[in-house]
Amino acid sequence: MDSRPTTYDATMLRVMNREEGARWHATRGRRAAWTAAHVLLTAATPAVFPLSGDNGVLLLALLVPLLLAWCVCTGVLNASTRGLLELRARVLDERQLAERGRAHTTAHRVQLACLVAVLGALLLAERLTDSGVGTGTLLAALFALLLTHWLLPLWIAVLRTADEPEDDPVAARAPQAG
Amino acid sequence: MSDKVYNRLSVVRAERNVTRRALAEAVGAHYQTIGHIERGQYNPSLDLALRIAEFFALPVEALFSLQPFRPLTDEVYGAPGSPGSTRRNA
Repeated sequence: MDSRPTTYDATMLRVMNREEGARWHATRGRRAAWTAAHVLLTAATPAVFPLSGDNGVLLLALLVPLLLAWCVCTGVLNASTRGLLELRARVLDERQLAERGRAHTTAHRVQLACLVAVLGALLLAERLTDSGVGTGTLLAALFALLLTHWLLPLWIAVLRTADEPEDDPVAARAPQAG
Repeated sequence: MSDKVYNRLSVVRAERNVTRRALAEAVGAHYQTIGHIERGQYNPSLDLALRIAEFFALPVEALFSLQPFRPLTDEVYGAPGSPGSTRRNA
């Protein structure tokens, strides 16, 4: 297998390591707030479909800003991890690969708990209601599980991310050094 | 078994006037990884430790140790009050 970084890899690496928005996610508290916002936006975006009913204009008016906000939020989360889950393995170093593995492992465990909880809730609903669980409810539950399966590793990676190392005294002394 | 690996990377890096980013690029790591190693939050693999040592042209044990490092001044001039100390009293 060719493990040399491609032009795409180099571009993505540069994008993920841009410093412009670094202070947006500089502290653990800010990263947690961005993650919470992303969870809310992820839940709210599909919820506009049933809320808007047959009104196409209302659907678009709600969906477009939510999707845009979701994209910005996803970008900030990816930048805060320096592309831990977005970049290909060949441009990550050994610490980043280990960190990615830990994020996936934790996400796998949390996802298992989510699956058990949803299954339990559906079985309970099936027993307690006369009409049983409808197709709509089942589809909504499956879609929610799909979203968590997709995004949990990112949320966990962001929450696990440590603060940037303090300013480099060598770089401050001689920016062109090295 | 202790999993702590001590290092004097930041001292050597400052002495040689090498930035984190320059070192990271030279050894094929992310600059944050160099910061994590310096802070003792990440223990590098033998491969990475050897590459860092090679970059500074130093033996790996000059940079990494399972025991805490003595201050460099103690190693050069001897600990204060020790028989071999060449320190001058103030």
